[in-house]
Amino acid sequence: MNERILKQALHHLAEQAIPADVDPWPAVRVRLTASSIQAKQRELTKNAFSMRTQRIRLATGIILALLAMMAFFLATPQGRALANKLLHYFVSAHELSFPIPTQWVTDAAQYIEPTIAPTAYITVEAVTQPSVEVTVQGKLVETSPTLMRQIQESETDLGFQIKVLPPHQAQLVVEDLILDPILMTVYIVYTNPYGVEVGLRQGIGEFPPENERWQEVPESAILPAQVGEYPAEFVRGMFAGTPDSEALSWWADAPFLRLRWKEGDRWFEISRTGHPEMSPPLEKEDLIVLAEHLVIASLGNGEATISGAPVELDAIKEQAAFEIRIPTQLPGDFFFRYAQYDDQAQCVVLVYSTEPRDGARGFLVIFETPQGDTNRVYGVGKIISIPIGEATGQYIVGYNTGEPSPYRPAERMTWQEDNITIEIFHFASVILGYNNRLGEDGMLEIAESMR
Amino acid sequence: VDSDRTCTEIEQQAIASLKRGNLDGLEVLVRRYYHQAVRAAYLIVHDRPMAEDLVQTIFLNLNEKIGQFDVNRSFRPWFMRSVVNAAINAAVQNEHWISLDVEISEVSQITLAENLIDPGPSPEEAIETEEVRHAVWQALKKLTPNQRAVVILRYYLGLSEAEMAEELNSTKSSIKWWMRAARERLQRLLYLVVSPDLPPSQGLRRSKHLKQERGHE
Repeated sequence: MNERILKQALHHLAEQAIPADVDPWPAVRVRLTASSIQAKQRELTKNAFSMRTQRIRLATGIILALLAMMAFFLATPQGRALANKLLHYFVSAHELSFPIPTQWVTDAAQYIEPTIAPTAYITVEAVTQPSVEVTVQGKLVETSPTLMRQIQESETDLGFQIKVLPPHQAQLVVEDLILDPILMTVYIVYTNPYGVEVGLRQGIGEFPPENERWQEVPESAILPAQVGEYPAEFVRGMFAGTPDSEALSWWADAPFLRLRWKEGDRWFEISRTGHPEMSPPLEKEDLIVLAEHLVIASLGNGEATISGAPVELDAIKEQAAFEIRIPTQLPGDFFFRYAQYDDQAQCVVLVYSTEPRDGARGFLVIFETPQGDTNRVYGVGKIISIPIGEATGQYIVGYNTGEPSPYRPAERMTWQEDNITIEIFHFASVILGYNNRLGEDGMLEIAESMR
Repeated sequence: VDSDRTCTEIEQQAIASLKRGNLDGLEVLVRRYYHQAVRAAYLIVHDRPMAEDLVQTIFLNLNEKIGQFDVNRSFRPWFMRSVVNAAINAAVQNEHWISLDVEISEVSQITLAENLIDPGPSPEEAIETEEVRHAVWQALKKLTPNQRAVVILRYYLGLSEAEMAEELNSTKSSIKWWMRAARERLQRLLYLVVSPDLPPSQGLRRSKHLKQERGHE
């Protein structure tokens, strides 16, 4: 055998299959971020208490830092000059607190009920179709050509190519696509089973004016950033109110991040919210990495780009290698959204949700993990033991506080059966527009229907 | 030489930076070794997405593993060892190979030989053809992952037997044995096409012989 020929053939085969014309760093960097998120998630699950303490410390630190910054900005001419220089993309709020507008009160009353009791219990009812039908119905979701067509049509209306998140980002899937033909903007909302919501807003020209005061941000909260070669601005926090307050105040450590930047005549905003109990905190750098890796949906593998997750239960069944349990009882207005196989946690995830109401959705997410224990502990709440067949289940509500809260309506039922840990989470998207609760009886009905 | 020295210095700085927990160093190493690593892994696992995935995973874990790296040694063989080991494990798990203990059946040899034989061109011309590459590709598939790995380390990455023994945590005699077994297997699968020592007529005769055998079956 001639070694030279073998070497040449090997080199040719390898170079033909793996051309060196693509920069590998962005792909690795994206995975690095995802891996860092997962590491944070693992850390969070292992150290729920310690993380909470750290968060409180971090929040305190941020507040102190913000106060110091604010003092600097307001007290010195250099600070004022720098603040003026920073303000560019966000609309600045002149006060850290303002009265809740009168017209909001009526609207908000249904969301911000000044009581720890849930505003409404919802009931469970039998799924009208057999499970298989539910599965088929559940295929609707993100990979449907409808969304791709919607993007292409929107591009025609807007006159620019729409960018989307790169594929396979922390299990995010497209939740909604909203086109504003007046402001000429498009807003794509992504969610994942861990209660994370990422919004990507984009348009052409200047950033649109804010039409609500709560969308403004204090000058001191705006931090300079860089998205690739483009200057950007980052903000953590939001204006929010407590149930009994008459004003909205700046909540500096709210789990709400925003990043704005411009690329030529195009502007972009990525926002990220998440349930502190269920999703790890993200940092400015994580948003920047996302921002730097947006892709044009209508080019290349658009389907993969806009889905980011397998949606067919049949495919999940092959990966799972165990019998997946599907509920035959669900709350009345919930429907199957999609299924995923989480490689990291090696579990099956079934996602059900309501249609959005006033911008908020209810989510019912079921995790099925073989091999017994799972470390998926997102916080400590009030625990009620409930028999589920031969097993003892735990119903948990009121994360971190021990009491149900209209701000934290998440509830969870978990039990083990046939060496599989099953967890049902019921929670709302972070906007306070959904405050229903199933209660232990409702969760038990769903659990029983999976046996 | 200056360029090489600069590259080495940049690499050393990147490693030192990574050892301090600064991920900026990773970017340098990714840009320098990614494609070669993916190609080596691909030649072992025969699956591009899998090769990319395992190389990316190794880079992601480099942050934790870099502490074990001795800066007095060369980074490339140390890193490629991780890649090759991961590729071997992936290939074993996927069973995209035929065990060394299971001989290729006569029928499959005939089929393969038929695919490999092209009585026309000389070896120099043959290397230009897709058939040769196809033959090498098919032959690689017939090797065990370990055999495949030594072939890639030796003939693609250009490591010496001593370096291979060191990087694969194996004895030199084991490497020699793997190399010998791999060479023999490759020779059996490839000589009809690519051996410059074998006259085309002999290859053709062999082909006819195999075809006759097949005809009798």
